[in-house]
Amino acid sequence: MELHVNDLKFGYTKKALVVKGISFSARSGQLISLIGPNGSGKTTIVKCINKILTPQSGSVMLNGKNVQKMPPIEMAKSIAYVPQFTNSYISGSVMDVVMMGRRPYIKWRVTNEDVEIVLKVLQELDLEPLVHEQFEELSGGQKQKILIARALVQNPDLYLFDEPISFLDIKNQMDIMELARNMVVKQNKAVIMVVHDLNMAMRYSDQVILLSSGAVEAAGLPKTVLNHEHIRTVYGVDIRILEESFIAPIYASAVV
Amino acid sequence: MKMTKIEKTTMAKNIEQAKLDYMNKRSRKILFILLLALALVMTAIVSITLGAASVDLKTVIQVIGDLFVHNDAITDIQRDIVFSIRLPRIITAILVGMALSNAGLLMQGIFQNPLVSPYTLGVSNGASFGASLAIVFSSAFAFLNFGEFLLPIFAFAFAVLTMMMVYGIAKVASNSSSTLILAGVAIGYLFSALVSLIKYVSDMKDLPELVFWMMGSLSGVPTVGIVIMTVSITVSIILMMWFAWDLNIMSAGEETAVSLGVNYKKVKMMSFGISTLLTAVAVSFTGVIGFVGLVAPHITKMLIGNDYRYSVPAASLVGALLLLIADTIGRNIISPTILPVGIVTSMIGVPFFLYLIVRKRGK
Repeated sequence: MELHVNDLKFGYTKKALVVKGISFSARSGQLISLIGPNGSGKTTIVKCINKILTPQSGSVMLNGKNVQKMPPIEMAKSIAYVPQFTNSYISGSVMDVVMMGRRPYIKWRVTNEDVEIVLKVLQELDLEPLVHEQFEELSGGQKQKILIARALVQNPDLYLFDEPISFLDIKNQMDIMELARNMVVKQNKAVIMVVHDLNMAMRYSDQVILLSSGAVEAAGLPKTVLNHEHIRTVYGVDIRILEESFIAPIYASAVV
Repeated sequence: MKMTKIEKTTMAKNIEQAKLDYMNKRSRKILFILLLALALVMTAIVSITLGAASVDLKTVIQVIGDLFVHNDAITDIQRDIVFSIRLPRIITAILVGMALSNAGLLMQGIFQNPLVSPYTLGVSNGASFGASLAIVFSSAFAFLNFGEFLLPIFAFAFAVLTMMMVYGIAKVASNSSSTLILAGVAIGYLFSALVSLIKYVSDMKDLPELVFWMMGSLSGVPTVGIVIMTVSITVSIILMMWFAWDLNIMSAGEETAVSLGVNYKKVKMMSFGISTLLTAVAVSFTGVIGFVGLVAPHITKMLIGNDYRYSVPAASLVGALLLLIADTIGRNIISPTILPVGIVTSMIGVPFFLYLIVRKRGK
């Protein structure tokens, strides 16, 4: 799988662009983190990749094909999207919600195979006991994992995660980052993730793209992107990088 | 992490068990729909024997049998009661119940809002305006030569016009669900003000007809009307079943739907089209019948869940049952006076709806 985003431009109104000409590439076996302050265009970029938004100019090419011109079902078989869970109100059981991910493969009848795939994924994520629960009655961490399970049963090459860990406790954050890492390493999938936690980005990403008001400020290996100068320019805060700490090497403090 | 053999076996067993559960659930749903259908048939049979004139079940069977083998014992009056009065009324109740219930089901799904009904976007107000024009200014429109169809045609046309206005305004504004609802409520108020204006300037002789129409009535729908309703409902149900998966996923919101390969704009447009057609057809032949379109989808979802593959047939049957029961009560409770069905549905619907809200809060 190869994804090329070329000179992508998007604005919610015609005058003000939110994304001002972004280019980057992703391929199988890569976890790419999109980081940057609120309003820097991270979510917008993700939504342009899977046709939720139509870019004003530029293109998104998946394996040489323009995503905007791809039939919806074909795109859904290649790209899965996990929205910010706070935005999703879904009625129905966990089974119903995860089964939605099989939609690109289901014609009308749910086959035995579909049920099996859903149950296997739920089991792998230790969510099987929740299968008959109502989605709305679950905790934030459980909901987020269910939405990830829905993306997994879609069996795509590329996963788009929009702030998957922002509202979760530390254990759930680790679970989800480990899961994403596994998908990349063991299954050779590609993950593009919007994330606010610089430490998580540093620890788990292969590539980091740092955005500032709709443009790329820096891109590349986590260590080269997440340095003192870049963070100060983009966020306006000072950071210290603790060499001895692997788990949380970045310590941020306000600029004085 | 390596799994032991025992762990693997339990895992496989759990999957088998969960799969069985899923299949059982599916069979239970189908069985439940069949039971609802049976209940509807039974209610219809009971309803046909109840009314101001007593016609017992045996007579009804004889009258129907008379169609195939002539029976001298049957009087013309009995034949008229069954075929001209009760049967058309019962069929109308079933059709209108199906139409409003499915329209409500669609609207609540697309808007992801359980408080939306087929009337929320002002369709009933628009239809009322059309009907009041037809009633009060019937002589002015005589040149159209619509005859007895003047009222349904006007009601239908204004129902559709209302929907187009609402949709047009929302499209210019932002096309979000909340704009659509706001535009619908606003246009609804506009038309209801216009209806008041017509009432204000109308003759005393036209006023009762107008008031009566706005309460809703299942009587006197012409055969053509029944045919039109049947065709519209059949087409709508087939389309809803065909797009059942898309509709299922659209209830999770636009972003999720698009990312799962649903052609969101197309299916949304189609859903508005179906819901407008169903509502407009029902309202133009029977007036404004409240609460079925709001409550029937709720009952359905509580009973059978959100999967449109099951909820469409179930909602059709629940809506039909609800309206048929309400009308049968309305016809008999202070017989020989017939209470307008709109009054009875609201009388039953409001307490039930309040119960639902309280129950949900209690959770």
